[in-house]
Amino acid sequence: MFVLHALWQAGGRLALWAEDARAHPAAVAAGAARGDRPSPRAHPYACPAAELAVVLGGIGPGLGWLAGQAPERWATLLLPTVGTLPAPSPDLPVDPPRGGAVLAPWRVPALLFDAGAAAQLLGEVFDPHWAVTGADLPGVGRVEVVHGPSLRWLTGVHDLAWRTVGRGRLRPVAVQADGGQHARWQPDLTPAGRHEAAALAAGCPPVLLGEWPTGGGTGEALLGEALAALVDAEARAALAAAPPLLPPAASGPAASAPAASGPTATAERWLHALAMPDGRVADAPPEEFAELRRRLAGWYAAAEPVAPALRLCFRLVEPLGPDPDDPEGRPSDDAWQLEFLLQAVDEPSLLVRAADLHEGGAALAALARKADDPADVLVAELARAAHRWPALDGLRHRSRPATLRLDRAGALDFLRTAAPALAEGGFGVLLPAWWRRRPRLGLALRVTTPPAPGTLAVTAQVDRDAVVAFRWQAALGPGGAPLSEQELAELAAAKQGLVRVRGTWMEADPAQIAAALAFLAARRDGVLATADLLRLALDPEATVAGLPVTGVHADGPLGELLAGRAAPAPAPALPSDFRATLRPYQERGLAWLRAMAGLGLGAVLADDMGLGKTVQTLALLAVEQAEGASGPTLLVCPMSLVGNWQREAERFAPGLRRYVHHGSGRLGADQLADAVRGVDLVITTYGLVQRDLAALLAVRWRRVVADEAQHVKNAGTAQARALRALPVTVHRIALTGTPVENRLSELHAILDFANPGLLGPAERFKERYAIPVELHRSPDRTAELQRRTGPFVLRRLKSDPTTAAELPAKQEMTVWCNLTAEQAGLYQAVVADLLQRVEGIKGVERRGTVLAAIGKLKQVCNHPAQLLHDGTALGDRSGKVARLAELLEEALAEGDRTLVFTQYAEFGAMLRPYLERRLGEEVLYLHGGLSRARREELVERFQSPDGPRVFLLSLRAGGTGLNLTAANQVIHLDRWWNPAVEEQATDRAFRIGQRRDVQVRRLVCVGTVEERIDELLAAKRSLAEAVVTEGERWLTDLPVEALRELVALTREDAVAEEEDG
Amino acid sequence: MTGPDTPTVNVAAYWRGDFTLPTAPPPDRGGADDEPDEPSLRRLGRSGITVRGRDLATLLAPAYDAFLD
Repeated sequence: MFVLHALWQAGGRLALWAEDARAHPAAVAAGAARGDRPSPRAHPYACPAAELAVVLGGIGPGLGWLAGQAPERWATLLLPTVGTLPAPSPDLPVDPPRGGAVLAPWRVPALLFDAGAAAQLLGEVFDPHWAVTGADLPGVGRVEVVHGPSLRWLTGVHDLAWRTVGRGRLRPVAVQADGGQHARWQPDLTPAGRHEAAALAAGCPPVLLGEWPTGGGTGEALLGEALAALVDAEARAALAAAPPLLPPAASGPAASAPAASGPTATAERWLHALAMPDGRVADAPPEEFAELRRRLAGWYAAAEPVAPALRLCFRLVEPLGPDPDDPEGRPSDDAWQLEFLLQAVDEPSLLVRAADLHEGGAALAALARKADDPADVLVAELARAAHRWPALDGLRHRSRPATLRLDRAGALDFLRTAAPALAEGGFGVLLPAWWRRRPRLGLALRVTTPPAPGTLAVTAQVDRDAVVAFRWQAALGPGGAPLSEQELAELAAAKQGLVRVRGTWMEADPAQIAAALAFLAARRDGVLATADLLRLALDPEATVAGLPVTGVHADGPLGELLAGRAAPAPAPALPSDFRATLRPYQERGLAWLRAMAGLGLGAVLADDMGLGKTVQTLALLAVEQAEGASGPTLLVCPMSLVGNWQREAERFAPGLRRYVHHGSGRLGADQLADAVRGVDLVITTYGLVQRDLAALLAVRWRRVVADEAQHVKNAGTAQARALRALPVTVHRIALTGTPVENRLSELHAILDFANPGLLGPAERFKERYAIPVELHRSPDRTAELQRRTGPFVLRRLKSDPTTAAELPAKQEMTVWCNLTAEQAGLYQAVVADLLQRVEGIKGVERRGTVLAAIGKLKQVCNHPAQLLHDGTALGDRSGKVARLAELLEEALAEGDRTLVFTQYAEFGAMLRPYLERRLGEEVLYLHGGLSRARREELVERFQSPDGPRVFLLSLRAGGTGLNLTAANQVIHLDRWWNPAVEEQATDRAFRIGQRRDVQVRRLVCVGTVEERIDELLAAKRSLAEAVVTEGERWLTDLPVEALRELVALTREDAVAEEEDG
Repeated sequence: MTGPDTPTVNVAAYWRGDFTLPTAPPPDRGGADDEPDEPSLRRLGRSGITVRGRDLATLLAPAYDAFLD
């Protein structure tokens, strides 16, 4: 019976030896006699090497072959010794000696296997289940062979090596050792592999460390050596049958032979040697080989550890207070400190300075919850970081690294090169705030009033024609205060590197300093046009003489404008014939519009719906007309708003001379210019701007106003291009209630309409803001965007406290709609039929005929399909439905909820699917056909915080009793002509429990019976009373002529459709 | 061979150590230090070291293919 033992020798060889149980008794018997021989003596019952080879051959032919190749050598190792004999290993079936054992060196005959053969042998004998095998010995028969723990341990190491190679977890390295250069494969263990290796190292049988006199190392070191050698051997074995790694040369037959000389030759030789049995790199110049090692190390260092528990962070600390290294304690600008810190990856707030870590205590305890040995992590990560920044190399020999002192040059090197490289390598880098802002030397422009002598005065009103005086000053940007002459001189004296200016560090750039000095010497003062000044102020990338413009500061109204403060001047007095009293916020809006006009700058009035953009615009026109301004304003709006503008202008500013460019009989280029001469307001539609561009270009417009300006959001469309093509003498105004600040491409399109080119191309704008603001919510970019766009956009929300305070709790408005041509045709047909039929009939029959016809007219005003009952698609056939959809879109965009009342259940049923498609949202519909439970369910859903936002109701079913205070918008789609009924319906929203202001809109078709009756109701209170008591019956008794007047369609007013031609 | 101060040794422990051979590859550990068991080359990216005009990572790829076979 034999027990096989192994020893891993320095140089990467396996020594195999065995105890022979058969020889043990004789050894014991002769033990005493050998006691006087010099130490180390030969092990008395170790198996001779030749016999061991036979035993291995008896286990299997593979082992036999390997043993046949292995040289026989003596190995010396420390073994437990009792008395004069080595104590038998526990697996040897002999009686253990009595008495305490001590370690003593013994020589054993061994077979030596190089790493390649060792890998084969260990793989062959690996058996995790059984330690006993058998060997057939010639002349003896089968004997038992036990794999001793030392051999089994090494088979475990080999198994790990084999699996490591099989998973590709190894890296090639260049090694300088034993006086030679080698290409080797090193294990790159996974965390699981590292755990396994650590367990093996911890459990290493001490006998494996007992080689004498060279042993005495640790299990960890032994495991590292053996694993590295076995991984290398297994890798070469795998590559032996693989194609050569070196690619064929471009020419010549020496396909995989390395080149003759040069750095490439060294790399080629190393690569070639990776697959060779001995791995030796021949004839590589040492410096080139060292360079290859360095580059390989850099490559590996760059690979971040995966999912580490702790992260090494670096914090650069500016010089502060007395320099600790100065004997007299003077402060020094070269006393920078780079602090090392460890941070828990899963708990970033756990950030501990290395200095605190070394002191132990709470800091160490906190980190120790995350990693076994935080101090080890610190050292290992510093070593890894040194590959990224060699300045850390010097820390290797420091026992408790905590900081690295840097001078200014070192600090700058860290900031410039090391910090990005370390961050890229997964290290944390904490830099001073000033470096992130990177203050740079630039030029600040200061504009003062009064202007330079001989130029136009800048008064309280900003004047676009003004020329302003300026002075350039050197400044630290962005946004920093200008530098004094003295400070600039100090900066110039510093020349380069890190410089402290006004307590803030910055990197001095000699070229920039020289450029600033040269520029200021030549062009410090001057005058420039206001418009140029604005362009400079609003372009965040503006440069002068190669230096960034760090800020533009102006006093007076220009300064107010640049600061984005509205109302730079008091609101002008309204002409006496203007029939509205502006609310204070509307006065501010008027003043702002007027200031922008004075400056010749486009304005975007983006007040919430219902805040009176129309009345503010009309007020501006009225003021200008009263002042004698010349030239017409072109108002461009969607078709559905033409009537509204007409009526609002009539109502509020009757003194304005109006012209509507619309309809089939509209004028061509020659006539239009004449027709609008002396006119103040010309109303047309987006469609016609495109279609009649030639005619519109023939007019010299004072301004162009784009209402519902989101129609130009796609700047590339023919419509938008046509609109922009119209030249103006004063400025452009965009009106929109859509919160464009949330849709930046739209914002740019609208601002670019108002001020072409001022904000740069759309792509650049989008690149600079779209992703940083919309996606990353960058506060810096958001602030910059606000600064650039603020002067041109006035947006008030109805929820703003100051605005809300100026609004009534319930705002009631009439919204004017136009008929489409189809509606108008149907309408006229119904009127003609009515007027024909009422001739000669009386009493109940007349009454019934009139009521039925009025009902039909109201249905036509709603939608042709409602009258025809033909189930056709709603499409774009109704001006009222189009306006309704626009209002709802705007309300949804502002986060409002809306009740829409109609007296026709059938119309509600038609509208619901149409609106759902158009709005992309669920629309609730409550009507008389629903059960009570269903109605309650709908009300509950609408009232719930995340419920549907549009609620369509039939006036009869939903007009009373319900509590719908979730809504703050109410739309009456068609008129009941009984104010009390509408009031009751409105009160579904405007009642106790309502916390917001409520806006109520009544949709009325221009030029139809709806408008006539609306006027009557408004003008004649007594009639209204009658209506309340009698409903619509009063209509039926009107004489024919009065009836004709009431229902006739005033076509030139009523129809708003762009007809061909 | 021994003097009075020579420490005695635990014979069994000296020979046996304290380890267990894995009977199967260690299972994936569900912990923070889990990492994908992918070849080292895949985690390294390009080396910037070129041999005959090709990056070392490219040249080494066949070797890793051989290891994984």
